[in-house]
Amino acid sequence: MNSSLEIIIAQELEQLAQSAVNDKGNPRELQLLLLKALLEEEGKVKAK
Amino acid sequence: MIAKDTMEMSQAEDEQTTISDDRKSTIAIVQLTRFGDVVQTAHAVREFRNEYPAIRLILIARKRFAAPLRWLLDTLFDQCYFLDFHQMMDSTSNKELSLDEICNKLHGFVSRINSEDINVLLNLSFSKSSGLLCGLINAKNKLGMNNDPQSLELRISDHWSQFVYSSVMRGPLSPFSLVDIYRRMMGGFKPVATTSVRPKIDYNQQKISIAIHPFASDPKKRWDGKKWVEIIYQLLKIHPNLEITIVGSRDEQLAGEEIINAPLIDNYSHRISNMAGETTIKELFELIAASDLFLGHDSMVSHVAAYQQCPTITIALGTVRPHETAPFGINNYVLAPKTKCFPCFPKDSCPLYKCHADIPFQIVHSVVDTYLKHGEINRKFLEEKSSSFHLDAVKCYQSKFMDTGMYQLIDTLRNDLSLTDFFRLLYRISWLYFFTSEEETHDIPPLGADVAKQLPHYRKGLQQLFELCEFGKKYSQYILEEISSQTPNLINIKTHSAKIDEIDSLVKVLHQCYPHLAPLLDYLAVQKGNLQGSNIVELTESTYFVYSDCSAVSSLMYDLVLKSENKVTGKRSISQPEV
Repeated sequence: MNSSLEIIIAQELEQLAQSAVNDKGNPRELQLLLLKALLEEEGKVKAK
Repeated sequence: MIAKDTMEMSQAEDEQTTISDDRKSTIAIVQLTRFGDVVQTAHAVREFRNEYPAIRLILIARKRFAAPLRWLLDTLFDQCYFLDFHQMMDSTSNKELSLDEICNKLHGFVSRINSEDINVLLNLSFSKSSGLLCGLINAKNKLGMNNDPQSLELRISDHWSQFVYSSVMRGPLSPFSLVDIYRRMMGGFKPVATTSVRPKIDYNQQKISIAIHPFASDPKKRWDGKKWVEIIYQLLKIHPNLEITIVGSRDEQLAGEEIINAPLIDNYSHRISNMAGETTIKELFELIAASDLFLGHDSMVSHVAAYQQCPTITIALGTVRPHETAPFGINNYVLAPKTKCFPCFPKDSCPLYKCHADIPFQIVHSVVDTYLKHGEINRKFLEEKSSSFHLDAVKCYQSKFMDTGMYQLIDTLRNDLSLTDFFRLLYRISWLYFFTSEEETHDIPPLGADVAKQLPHYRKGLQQLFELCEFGKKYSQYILEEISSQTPNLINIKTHSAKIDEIDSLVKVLHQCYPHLAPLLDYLAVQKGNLQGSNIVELTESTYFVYSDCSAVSSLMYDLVLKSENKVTGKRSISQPEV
């Protein structure tokens, strides 16, 4: 269900990593990382 | 928008609004893991509440694990925020949500929390997501895993959290109950107030009720249903006044039916019922509270029983670490196998489930029988009912609270300590002293020849670690001296820094030679990964203190090992490791 979302998150994280080398602390990046982690953990719960 | 039920004020808070005090300090607890962890958190918070009724407590948890416990959480927390993952991902229309829309929902959730004036944000869950969520939440102080909102790096700055990150669910050497760790992390630790001992069961009473939960979330942690059928058959056959209720979730309903419909227990079907999937969680709490005994595996239901102060007998299998997660309370019993690979890790593949076979069902029956008739379990009672062969296959722990107020499992069968048991005890004494300056009273345990033989080897390892840490302190000091000199020499600083790197790689080698020193070495690694400071002076000072801490713990452990060795050999002299 969320595989496309995971790809979109990964793409945006990559873009942020490339464009904001010296601009850390972007809350969007933290939000995306959190969403990515939640998706991964949800996948593990489902796998159980 | 966030779902209404994740936003609504709890009833408890509504009631407390009338007596609200603007000066109240607020602690926000993050617990994003499963039901069992939420129940254990509730247990710790109940104790904390008794000590500090005026502190405003907030819970941040996942809706799927916390919402069914809302009725309980509302009695403990002033406000609950439930992260509803599915609501965040799903659109009310058929159209899929865009990433921006999902991020907006997440932002809304975090903004709600950030409207609170949080003094301390305490992360009790050690998951990636919880650290990242803590990075988004504003608080004056943060304890536990949290990602720095600027650098995004993971930070763990307090001792207890560093301990959890380096020891809990890693090996078999973590000596503390999770509930105690949570209580310590919250602070203001006092001996448990709410745990009481139930009066001994009157074996001749009209009816004795046992709630059995023969399930667990992971197949490694539970027996096959057939083994449970054998135990239930024996119990119903021998005890005519016994009534058994199988409890569990809807997912476990079918497995429960298979057990109660087993031909072996056909004759006793009027004394057994399957309530798995038939109760709400609140009703499950009530059902267990009304039971005389809980029997089952280490699972969320066993924590419910502990919360309700129902005596428990649990069977620890697979990945379960009884010293960490056994039901919290006095006089609970745990049966654990002596299998070498126990406890294992969730990722370990295991086709044989040897630990399942290593606990004979006969011993479970003997333990329950002994408990029902005597109200306690000890080797003498069990020897009357079980063969030495069966008794020697298992460990039977009884829970108690030590003079420090900390929960501890004691081996009722008085088996000789294994090297792992011995080191777990050393770590218990050492960590507790190091983290809290409290000394817990333990006799120097009697050791078997096999264990005694390995102590000089480990003492040597502790000596080496001590020496490395002393070198670490020395080179940190050299760097600080160089920096504070009138003409700091960069090459000298780099040389000393290279020495510190060399020390760290030598510490890694100790890991391979002394596996039972892993918790201490891992703790050192976690501390080194979380140095305090933003410039070379602060970071070097922090490095000095990290080595100093590890040096102190290794020195203490060295002394304890030497004392134990001397007890075996009859010597009296005690010496410190020397550089």
